Amino acid sequence: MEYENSEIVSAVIYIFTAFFLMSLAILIFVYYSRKKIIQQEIVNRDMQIEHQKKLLKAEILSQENERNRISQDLHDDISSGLNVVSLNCHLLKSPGLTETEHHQLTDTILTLTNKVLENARRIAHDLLPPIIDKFGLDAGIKELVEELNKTKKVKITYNNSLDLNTLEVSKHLHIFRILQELINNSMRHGKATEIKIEMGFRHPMRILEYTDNGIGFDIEKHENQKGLGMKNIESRVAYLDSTYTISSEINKGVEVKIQF
Amino acid sequence: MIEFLVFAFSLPNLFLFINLILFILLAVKTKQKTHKIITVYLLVIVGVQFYSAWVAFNGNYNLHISHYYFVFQLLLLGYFYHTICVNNLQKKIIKYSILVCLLILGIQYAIIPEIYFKFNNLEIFLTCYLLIIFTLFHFYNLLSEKKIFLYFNMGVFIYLFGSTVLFLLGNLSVVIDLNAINFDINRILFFIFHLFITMEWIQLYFNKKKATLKK
Repeated sequence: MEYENSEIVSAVIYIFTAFFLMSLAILIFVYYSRKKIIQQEIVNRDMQIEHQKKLLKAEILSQENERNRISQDLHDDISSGLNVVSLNCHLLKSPGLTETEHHQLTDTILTLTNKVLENARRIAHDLLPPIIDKFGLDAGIKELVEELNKTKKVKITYNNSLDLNTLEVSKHLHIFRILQELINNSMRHGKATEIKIEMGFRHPMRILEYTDNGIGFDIEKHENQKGLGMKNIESRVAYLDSTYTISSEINKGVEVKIQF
Repeated sequence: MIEFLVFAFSLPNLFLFINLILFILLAVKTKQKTHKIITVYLLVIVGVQFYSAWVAFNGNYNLHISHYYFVFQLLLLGYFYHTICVNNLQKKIIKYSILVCLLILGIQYAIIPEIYFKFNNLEIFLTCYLLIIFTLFHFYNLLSEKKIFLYFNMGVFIYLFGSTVLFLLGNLSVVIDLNAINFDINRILFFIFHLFITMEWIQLYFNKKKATLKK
């Protein structure tokens, strides 16, 4: 009887101690977890702020780059052309020109002005493809795809089942630029030879799916996330008020989905 | 013999078998240390389950096997948590607490050797409590890490919490007959534990390599 009693007492003491210590352990766990979670949140917020700063920097930088390019284009193609035109005009004023010389000079001026005009048109086109303005995004993408397909370096297929005219006009250019950047990345870094662009409606959002057959990249690697191009895409997606996912694996191409 | 076979092919045991096979496959495929440890742990459980059942069904006393079960469980799972732990302080705590625990038990067996033939409450409590602390370490580490071995950890936590109490009640069987109900609850716990292990296996085996960046 005494033996049985001591067993009961022992079991009760052990069970009590076990429960007591386990709840104590859990309390300590909860306390430290809370601390850790709060710290984590602070770190996350700092990272977000840092990220936004980087986005802003990238935006400014790409704007500067664009300005540089424009100024160079203007300088090389327009100013120098106009310089030659003005020189020829001066020559026209010089006395004692024969009829044929006169003729030659006006011919040169004509061809030069035509060339400058052509260049000015091209620069304007590069800045903002007029087709988007006139005929909308769908036509713009079609033109882009056609132009690139003509180079034979890449085969792009484009399918669209959306009526993009219902989309706000301000968003057209963002989507166009994102596609330009993606194609640029696929061809330059991904060495892709085939690209597929699909737009459709998946309730409740419009979706753009972009896939290529390039060499892909490791998303988890940090240096792949901080390129100017990627940053540009990200800020444009932010302007669109949309979400995007990029999935990629080395040698398995890239897949981008944008919901807008 | 028939009793033994009925036990061997009961649902929790089949589950245990399946998990063992799944983890052997995984360990062979990935050759990762952690997967190997889990496989060995499952193997030890299978060994203990069947050996003790075999001994009992042959009419012999089998309580002493529980000691090996608890100590091996502590060693293997302790080693497992030591391996996946990234925090140096926690690693040290795991290592030294296991050593101290073994030392205490060694002294206890030297002083009271007859405890070998019944449930050793101190042993049950120490080995399970330490493992529960290790699972809490892992839960804590998971707050900021990738969710790895989450299901396994949850399974160990729940199983140890429940089974500790059940085993601590074990010696009371000389006073009141708890065996039937104890046995059933233990089976349920065991079943839940192995459900979690299977979920962990699914996670580990079908772990997608394709990374996705979402914004």
